[in-house]
Amino acid sequence: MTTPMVLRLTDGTATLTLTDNVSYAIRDMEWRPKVARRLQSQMGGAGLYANVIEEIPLHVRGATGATALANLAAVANMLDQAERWARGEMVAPIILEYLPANSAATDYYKAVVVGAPGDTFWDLSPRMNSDQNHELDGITLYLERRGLWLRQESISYVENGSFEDWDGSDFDDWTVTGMATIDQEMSPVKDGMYSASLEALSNAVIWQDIGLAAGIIQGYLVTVTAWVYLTSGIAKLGAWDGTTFFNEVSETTAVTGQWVQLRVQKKVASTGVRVGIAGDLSVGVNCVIDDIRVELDFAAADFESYYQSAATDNGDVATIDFGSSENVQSPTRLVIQDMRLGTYHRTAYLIVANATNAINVVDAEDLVTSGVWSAPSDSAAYARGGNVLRYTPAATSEVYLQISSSVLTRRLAIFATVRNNSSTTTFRLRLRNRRADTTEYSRPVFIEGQASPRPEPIFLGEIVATAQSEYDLCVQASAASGTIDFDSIVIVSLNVQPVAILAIHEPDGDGYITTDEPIFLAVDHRLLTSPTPRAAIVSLGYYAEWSAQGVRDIFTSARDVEVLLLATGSDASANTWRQVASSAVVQNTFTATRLPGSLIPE
Amino acid sequence: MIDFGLYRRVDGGRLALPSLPVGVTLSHNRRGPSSARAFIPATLAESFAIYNHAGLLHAVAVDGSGAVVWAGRVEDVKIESGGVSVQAMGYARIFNDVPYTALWSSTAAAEWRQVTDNDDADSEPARYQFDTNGRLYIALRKGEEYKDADNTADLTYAAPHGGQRNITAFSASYSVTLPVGWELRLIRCDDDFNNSNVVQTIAGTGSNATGTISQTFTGQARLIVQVRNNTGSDYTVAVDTGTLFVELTDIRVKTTAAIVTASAIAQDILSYVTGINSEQVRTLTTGVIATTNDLHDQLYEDAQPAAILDDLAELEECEWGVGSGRMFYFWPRGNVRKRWFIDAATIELERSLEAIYNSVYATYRADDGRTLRTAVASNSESLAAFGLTRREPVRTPTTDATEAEAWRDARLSQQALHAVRARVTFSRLLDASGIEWPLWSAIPGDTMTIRNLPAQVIGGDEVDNIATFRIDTADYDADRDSLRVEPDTPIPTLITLVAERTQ
Repeated sequence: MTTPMVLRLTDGTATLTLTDNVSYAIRDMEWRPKVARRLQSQMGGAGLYANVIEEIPLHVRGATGATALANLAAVANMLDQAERWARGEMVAPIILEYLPANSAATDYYKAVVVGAPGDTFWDLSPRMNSDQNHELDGITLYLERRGLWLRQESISYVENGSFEDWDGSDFDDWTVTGMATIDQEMSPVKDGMYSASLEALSNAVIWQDIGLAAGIIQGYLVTVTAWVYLTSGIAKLGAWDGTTFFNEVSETTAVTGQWVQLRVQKKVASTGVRVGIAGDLSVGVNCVIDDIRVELDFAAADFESYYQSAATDNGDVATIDFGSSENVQSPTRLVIQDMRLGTYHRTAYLIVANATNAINVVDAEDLVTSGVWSAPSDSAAYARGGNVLRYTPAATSEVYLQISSSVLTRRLAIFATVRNNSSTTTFRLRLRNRRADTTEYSRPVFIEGQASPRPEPIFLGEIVATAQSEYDLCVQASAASGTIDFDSIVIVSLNVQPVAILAIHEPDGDGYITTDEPIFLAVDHRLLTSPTPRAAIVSLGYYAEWSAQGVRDIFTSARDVEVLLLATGSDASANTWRQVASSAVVQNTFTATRLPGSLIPE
Repeated sequence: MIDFGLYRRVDGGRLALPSLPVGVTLSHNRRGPSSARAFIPATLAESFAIYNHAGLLHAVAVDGSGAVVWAGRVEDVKIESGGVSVQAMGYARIFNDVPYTALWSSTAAAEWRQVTDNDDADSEPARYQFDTNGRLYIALRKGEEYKDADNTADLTYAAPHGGQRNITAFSASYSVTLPVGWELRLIRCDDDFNNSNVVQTIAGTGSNATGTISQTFTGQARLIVQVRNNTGSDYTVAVDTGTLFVELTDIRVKTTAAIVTASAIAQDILSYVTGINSEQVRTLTTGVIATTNDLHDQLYEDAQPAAILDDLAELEECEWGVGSGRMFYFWPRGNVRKRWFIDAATIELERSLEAIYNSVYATYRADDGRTLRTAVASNSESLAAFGLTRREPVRTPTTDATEAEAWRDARLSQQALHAVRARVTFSRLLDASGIEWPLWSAIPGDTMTIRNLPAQVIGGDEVDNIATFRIDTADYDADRDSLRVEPDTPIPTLITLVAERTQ
């Protein structure tokens, strides 16, 4: 048995199935999906592949001529909305969804539509529809989509959220309290085959408990959504802690006869969160409900699958196991849990490597401890390994610290956490690659004196390590006084592509982050949702763009992806080598959502 | 990959742009990041949000390794069809924001003037004979009666009005023939002649006395060289005019006790401009490497700091600018450089004598204003290579021969070699180890070697403007992933594409 190709345009609310053979049709062999090539542009944010222009011969139909024209207008409206979205207007993106014929895939392949080429969508014939044949052929749908097809793998927190499972009198996994009449319906339906009709007096409610689970974490926000088709009264979507009834509520307006999505946010209680739909206390409700979901604030959209690292000491390398690798570098949304951005924190570096052993953290004091170098203890400041490496300049000449020797040829980015203990001496740092026939230096960085010494992560530069060579850290003091300390030296192999490195700015002095409350910071490609990527706080009830420098669309393909957050400061002091809270090194959990990418849907 | 973002200010929050910037180009010149352009597709309302943003937007481009590859300030915002285009300029532009007025050193006697009785009631210039042509000369006139402690002769020099620096040092050689009881006084005072303080007094002995003056003192705006009768009674000159005189030569006025160096001036300019426009450029002076030439005539009035730094950099064979880390630098050319290697895919290379000068002398001023010329300096290698002497003068403002020779040598080192007109296409930017780097890594000051030229034109890694040249400007186009670089050449009209990456 063959399954036909499916091609849809959707904005998440309305869906036009271009292959339904009712309103639209694409004749066999008439559409030749384009396969994208690598993007020549080096600008981050738009993915790794060039946009392609699809040329889709489309037959538009209708029960009447007017309906056929309305169906064509619906396509035009979608394209128009796509262009508005691409220009940054606050409208939903248009997604082209595709399932090839006989595909084994269970999820649609998706690509966001960014507009259409040329100045017009179509040049319509003056005789269009004149013979009332109810079919408008000769229409070619030109649209520009992002080159990579993406799939959203989903999990569900709400059991039976589409009301597919019905035992004849009750819906599985749902509890009904109060006097309510419920039934399974085949129309109208928003998701799946069925929906649920609900006729409820005042305080009747259908609900289920979502217990604590991976992602459902006490204290963090979840978003609950439900689609409601109202006949009369007022329907309320609620999220509560199981005891305080409906303390977070969203209710329908007086709109009847169409689907409306209700949305409510709730901080997770110690027992989890309870979700349900009820009728208004005074007027009750008569409605159809469908597709009830709980979305995590750190997941990208809907209820996507995600993968988490173990809780890892800040400053150590964490590994996210995706379970399998991807053939194509795929956009990956990353959320840092328990990120601290309070008053005492400096600019931090987030480093993501698409491989294992690509990020190496070296305790500086392990490299050398003789001559001008010493290794005093600084466990009070939570130094990694307990000690730091200290350089005490006896002169202003440059000194060298061998970081490593190499047997491989590779390009490296090197970071370090450093603390200039002098208020007056400036230290010049640079990297050196030394081999038999040449010496190469990176461009220098300067660490100025601080009135109140505090560690900070810095980017030392890039250097090439070649076979039979060594690479060194070069330090030069502006005066033979003061000291500079090093704690972690981080070596990132840039040969493992792609590597993503972002500088996450310390709070602006005028900014709104004044507490040291743990937050979730998401680095999101938003390739299916927004024209631009974003680094943003996704907890604490707001979704503010955070000041992060670096390419914010992260692509991975490996099964195991390494992540390091190089950060300093605590809730009480700037003088800590790692992020510290409540007198302990913060443990970061990194959560990733990867949208498997395909150049050719299978 | 490159991330290009706009920030509310240096270290400020990032602007949430409505769409991805397109058409991003990042340019560098020898002053560091020079310009960056981008177009942001946006609605009219969103365009105006950027257009009307209060304060100075900060533009930063970061590459995938976390390195800041370009940083500057948004200067031009233009709303046009479909969005808004922005042009940012590197922070070296801060040296074009405010004029700089300061005296550092002057040896120009002609800049001294007589003090009138309007300036100082005791001054009676008509009773004396003056000369400021190459010297400060004051002579008593025969038959003139000079009242005691009155009827003074004064020559004065003032630092530029409203300038940043007061006079703190004076030196000269003197020849004094004054009657006993008369005296030569060096006086410092404010610009309006108030708050005068005597720095040094040389008493008349009735016969000629010679020596040197070398004084440092608390800074004030004005210096006065004064001759006066301090005998206790009126004095009538019986000898011929010019018999009793004061003559100062080799005069030098400074605003620093130390020698006047280009690096010191550069540091002061940095302090001055960052004091007015803070935040943009770090005040760190570690990037200023000390120079040692003592500059004798450095007077700036309403001058653009950038132009001053250009002159100083040329004189000292230095380069100046503000790097991507917003740090000011004034250091020898190529001080921080990387070496790049390319394999040319196609090549057009043309040399020309037009720009070559392998023999140079400098002109400078004598004390009396006469134009003097240094000895000619030549580049023997260039002379041998071309079999031709092409000579040019370099005109300097100084009165110091050593300083003039420094100008001469700097010019010679820049112009003795081939000036190259070239167009090379290449596809990969490699380092000495053969590792490929992103194209945006190559910036001015770095050297680039075309390594697949015939063996006879490949030397070491020294700049020869044939196989190896120093990059003067680099323009990176992020959309096309292409790089254009131009060689370092002293001819500003030679705008020649040198290298462009091909896919």
